Amino acid sequence: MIPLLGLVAGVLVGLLWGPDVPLFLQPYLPIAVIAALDAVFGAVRAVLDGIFNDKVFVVSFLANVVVAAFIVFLGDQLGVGSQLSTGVVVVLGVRIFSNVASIRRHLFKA
Amino acid sequence: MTPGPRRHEEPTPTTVPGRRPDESMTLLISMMERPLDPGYAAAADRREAQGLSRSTGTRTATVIVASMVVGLLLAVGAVALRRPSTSAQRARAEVISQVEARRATVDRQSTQLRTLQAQVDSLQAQALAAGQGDQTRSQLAALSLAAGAEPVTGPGVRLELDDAVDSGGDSADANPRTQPGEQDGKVLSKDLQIIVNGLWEAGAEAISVNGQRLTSRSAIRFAGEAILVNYRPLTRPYRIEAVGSTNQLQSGFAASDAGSYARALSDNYGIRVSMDPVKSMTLPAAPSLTVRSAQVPRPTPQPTTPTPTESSP
Repeated sequence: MIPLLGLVAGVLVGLLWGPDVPLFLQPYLPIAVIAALDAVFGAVRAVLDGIFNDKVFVVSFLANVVVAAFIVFLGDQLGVGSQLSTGVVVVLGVRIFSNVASIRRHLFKA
Repeated sequence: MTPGPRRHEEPTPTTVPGRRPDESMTLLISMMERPLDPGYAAAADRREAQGLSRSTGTRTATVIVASMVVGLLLAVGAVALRRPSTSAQRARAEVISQVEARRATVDRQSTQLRTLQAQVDSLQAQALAAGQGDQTRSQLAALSLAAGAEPVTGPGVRLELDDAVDSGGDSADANPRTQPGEQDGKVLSKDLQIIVNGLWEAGAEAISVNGQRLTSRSAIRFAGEAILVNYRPLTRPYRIEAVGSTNQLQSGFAASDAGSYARALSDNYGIRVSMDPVKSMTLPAAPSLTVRSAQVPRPTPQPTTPTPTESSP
């Protein structure tokens, strides 16, 4: 429950403060959001599995975001930025779906 | 943590030992079957080995800070990614509203100009009536009529030109126009020029195109995709109204080069041309006839209405 409150507080801060993202960071934002979602759903599943670890959560979140942004950056440099972005979204999307399915099994036993 | 799929040789935990029938798809298998970060299991095993509970619990400061960061990232991402489209739309809407506002200003000012012009004319008439001669007054009336400074009414013909129905379609292959850069089946400024000249030739006394009165200072020209008359862009269909003797206009135009040109336009390019006699129509006055550099050679100063030395018809 407390992490959920933290999440809500972060969302509120982001909405109220509304910081201007520098233009050079904007291409990485969608990927970073997807990576963060992946980390969050992975963490929720780990909690339900009873093996949650805060350090792993933080490290996986940061690494997810950084690696995803790096892949997009690399793709931009190579001229295939949109294709690599699509690849990242597909991979992380599949992981998110699998994790959500697992969470669903835990919560609804179905 | 290792993001995304990774080729790994050891069989996935859920698989039975031995060769799997879908072994060639390890990339997909690892992606589908091991979505949870293996780091969680490894950390849990380590903690268990140290005699702690497998889970650290979710109430640590790290988790709270991290979840706040995640929430911030989500909110910032949502806000920042929505903004570019809206800002582009806002800029576009602003430009459109500016264009419309300017156009409205121009319309308002030209109607104002016309009313002022009418006032000037009536004052002029008064002054002339109070002072000397009828001759000056009638001369002024005739000249301002011919110059397009006053609205005219009378019989005439109305010519309508419109682009071909399938302009830019199949006709592009069927009958390409010879001049480069021209689109088939579209009315060009040249077409309007030739037809207008043909109408003058046939004895038109006043002409307007889509409500823009032609004067000695009018230009019919192309700007981009639009035809400009009196520097105002026109939209199709183009309605050319010419005041004059109806019979003379019709027969004279049909016999002239412009008439055959118009027929060729409709025959060859599918441009829709129609010509109808009108019993009575009113053409507006030209919005601006202000002359800055040109001067009347006679020493006697002329009133404000400019009297071009050579009027159009």
